[in-house]
Amino acid sequence: MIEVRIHGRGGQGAVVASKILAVTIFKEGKYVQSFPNFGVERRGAPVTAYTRIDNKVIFLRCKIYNPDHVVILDPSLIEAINITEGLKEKGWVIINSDKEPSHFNSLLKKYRVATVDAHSIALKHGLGSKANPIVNTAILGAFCKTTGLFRLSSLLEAVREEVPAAQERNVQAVEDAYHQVKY
Amino acid sequence: MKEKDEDEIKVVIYRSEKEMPPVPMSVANTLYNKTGTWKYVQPIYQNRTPPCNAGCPAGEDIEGWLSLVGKGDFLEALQLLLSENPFPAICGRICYHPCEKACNRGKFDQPLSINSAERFLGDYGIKEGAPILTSTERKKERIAIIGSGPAGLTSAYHLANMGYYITIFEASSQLGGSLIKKYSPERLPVEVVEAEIERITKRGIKVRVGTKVGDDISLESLQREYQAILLATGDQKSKILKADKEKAVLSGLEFLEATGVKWGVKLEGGIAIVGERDIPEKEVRSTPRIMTDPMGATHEKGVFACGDITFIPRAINHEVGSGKRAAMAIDSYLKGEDIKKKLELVKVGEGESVSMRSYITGAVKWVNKVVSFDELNLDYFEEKPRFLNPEMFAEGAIIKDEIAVQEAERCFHCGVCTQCDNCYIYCPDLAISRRKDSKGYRINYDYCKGCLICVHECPRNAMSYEGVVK
Amino acid sequence: MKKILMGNHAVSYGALLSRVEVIAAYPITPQTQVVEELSKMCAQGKLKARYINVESEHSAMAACIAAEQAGARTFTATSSHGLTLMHELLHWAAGARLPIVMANINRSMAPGWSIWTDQNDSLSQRDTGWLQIYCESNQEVFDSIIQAYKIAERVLLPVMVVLDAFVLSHTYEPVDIPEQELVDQFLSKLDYPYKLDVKNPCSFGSLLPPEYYLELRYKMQKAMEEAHDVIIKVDKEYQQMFGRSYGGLVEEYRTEDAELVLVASSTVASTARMVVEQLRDEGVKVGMIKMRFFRPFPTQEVVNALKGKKKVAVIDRNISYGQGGIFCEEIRSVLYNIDQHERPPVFGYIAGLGGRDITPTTIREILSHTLKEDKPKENIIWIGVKH
Repeated sequence: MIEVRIHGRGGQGAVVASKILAVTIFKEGKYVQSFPNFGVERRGAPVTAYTRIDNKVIFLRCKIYNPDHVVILDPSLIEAINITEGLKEKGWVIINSDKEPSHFNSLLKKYRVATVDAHSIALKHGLGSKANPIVNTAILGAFCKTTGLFRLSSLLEAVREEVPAAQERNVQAVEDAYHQVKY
Repeated sequence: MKEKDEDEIKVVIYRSEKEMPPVPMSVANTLYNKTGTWKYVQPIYQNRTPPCNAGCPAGEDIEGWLSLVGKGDFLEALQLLLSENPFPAICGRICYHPCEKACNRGKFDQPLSINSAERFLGDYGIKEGAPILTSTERKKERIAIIGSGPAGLTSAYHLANMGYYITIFEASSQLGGSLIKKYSPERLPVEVVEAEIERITKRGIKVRVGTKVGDDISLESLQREYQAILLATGDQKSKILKADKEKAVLSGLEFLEATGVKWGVKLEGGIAIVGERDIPEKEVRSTPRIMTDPMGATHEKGVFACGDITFIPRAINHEVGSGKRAAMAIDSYLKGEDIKKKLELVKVGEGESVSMRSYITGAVKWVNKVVSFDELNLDYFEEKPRFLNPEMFAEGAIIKDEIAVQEAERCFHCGVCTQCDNCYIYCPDLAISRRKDSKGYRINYDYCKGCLICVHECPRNAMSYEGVVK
Repeated sequence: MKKILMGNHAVSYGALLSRVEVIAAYPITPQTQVVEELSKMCAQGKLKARYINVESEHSAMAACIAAEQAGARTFTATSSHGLTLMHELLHWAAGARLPIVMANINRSMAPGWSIWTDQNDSLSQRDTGWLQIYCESNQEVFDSIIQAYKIAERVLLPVMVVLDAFVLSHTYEPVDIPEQELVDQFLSKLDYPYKLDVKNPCSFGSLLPPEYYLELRYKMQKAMEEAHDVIIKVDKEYQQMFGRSYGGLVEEYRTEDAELVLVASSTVASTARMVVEQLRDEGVKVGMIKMRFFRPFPTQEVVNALKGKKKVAVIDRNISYGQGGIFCEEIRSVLYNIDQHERPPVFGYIAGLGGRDITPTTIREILSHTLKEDKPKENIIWIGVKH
């Protein structure tokens, strides 16, 4: 079983990202489960969402405490909360950032770090606004390339189905991130 | 379920749970239980006479036209008003409006501003050009009307509407009688009088001004040419006052002699007499008058009288009413019918008010019982002061339509169903249903058990009750 | 067709495929998406149902009662305070023998204000005459809505399909949505035999004197008893048609040679499967029964599964104050009359109230405690209380 935790802020699309991830992997014939942190959400406040992936039926129904990988939609969260809490050693930390992975020295001791400038990619493709770029689809492109857990084509198919608007621009953002991610 | 089956239904006693339905429901169609047999009183759904209507000597359906004003249907309201009274703009200025005194709302907050609403509607009619109701039916009889004051003109108007050929003989050079002479132009502008008279004469009425019956043309010749004659020469006092008192009386006599109407001591039936009489309104002075029956017939066959020459209070509303009654009497006479038999049909309240619509259609809108204040359910009304006042008609002031609508909306519609659904909603036995033709409600007396909740919850007493003889 | 659906939308799809005709509901967290989706389906014409907006859950149930009485297949959904506000009318719906189906998202009762899961809202409706189904997955939620209509309309009692707040309601997972045609074959159009008929007006729910009240209640209990076999039959028919079944009222999981049997319901049962599996791998003879139905109470199934076992541990995500876990008390009660030698000690655990997460560790703790002790020392064994 692989468990993924996604950190973002309310409005960035963390919950939708966890669902797209689930749909993508479901398309490849695996079992999936995704859910938001149980509770109340507010725009701008830290938000967490989860995805479980397995080759057999998933009976486990509780929160994820020891994720295999974490995805960070907003780099400011690194300072604000403990984004690696419970993260398994050698797990991937995929960060939306224009910096090199080496910039996140302290993380590199225990984990693997990948970075992608999902912010610029989202703006380039007109996703969201300058104040609030929607980076959730782009970062999944980076997640796909980095972890190799699923095929890019499955992800693109899921994005086309699940994104409520501007599907093709989201697809382009995913592809850009897939190719630009540094790790 | 057939009636036979209903009688056969008995109280069901279950001996075991197996016989019972699983659901707590009646075993049989509930229609068998004719709760209507329990009652000793029962509601009656019928419109009753609004006090304003009963209080209007001109016999207007005030509640009716107010209701239409309240809906913003000014043209329809005006048509309804004109079906009884051809002078709304005039009455709206000079009538002493006993209707407002009768209005039940007066005991609640302030009476409806009926007189001002009538003026609004009358002026609207002049401005917009009121529709002319021309009778499709032409009758062959010809009627001569002597005098063109409000009473004579009212008669002419209604008789013309019925399809008769009308000729008005006016001694002076101008139509209008007291309407011209009696009021200051500030109170009653000449243009208003002319506009409303023109609306009458437009109906194909022949007018011969400067023709004094007796001098210029004899009554006998009129009697030969016309099948009915209406004396509407009005109050002759202003002329007579110039002479001495004894002569004043004589003057009246002379007038009557000149016209050839027989007079004398009281005889049976309709009689024409001349003399001084006390009349109810103190401020209206008595003067030589013709005695007629309540509908305006003199004892002379084919000769009728109306207006101030008869025994009525001298005020526009009474004059209109008098003219209407004479029109009815003449029509009945020409048809060979007894007007007395129609009196109960046309009476509105117990006073002199009569309904031309009831006369024409033979149908009544209300049972003739006036609704009293105590019979209303005031829980359904909110206090609301008047929106419309006579003072608002200062020279040149324009009354907005909404004001008239708001004022009309204050009307309680005493005795007249507005289909508020209260009876329908509150009936605990579902014995009241809406009529499919949207004309109010139907009471199913088979199931009405006489609780009278509908009567109580009817705000306006359109639902009343009566005892049931078992 | 498999779709990734959140639990709440699995409810909506269940109602859609059941071709409900009237929906009256009032939104409440965590149920909101159920009615959001249904109102959207109605607005789009996907679902030919009358959606009635109401001003409270009390009114929602009143509208459902009226609609069902008129012969329409009726649906509503609610949660916690919404459900308890309905309480009076839940009695009415059952007493009037109306086969209404409702989804309830298990959410704790305030105060303290909580939007997270536990079972006190639905279990406190125990005596209203509603059947109750507790689900462990979104697929079971969807399937149970369709099954619920078939059961309800056969025994003429209303059914409540219950799912955990967030753990199911907001969790996305694959749900197999069958073809409408197939569902139509399984669930025919409602023909309610005691419906309002203007041509043959009858009075409903009017005064019932003491001579007959008892008999009607007797019949209601008989219907509940009859429901037992109907549930099993419907579940089997469902399997034949759709390939999925849930064991009727109770599912036994690895109980055949078990010495210790865990009793769980809802999503706790799902997580417990994993733990049972792990402990079996470790050589512990443990099994589980999943309480799918709470009403009618599966007395015979519980007795059969538990008699002769060495120990029973019951997890209750609920509490009847002054007594204990509600499932536990009912299980103890049905075991009382069996032969003393076959009667296992029953350990009653209370955990996870107000949405406190029940993880595999929690369940392991419960099982280890049960294995360690010979007999329960207390009526309630609390798990996770910070002392």
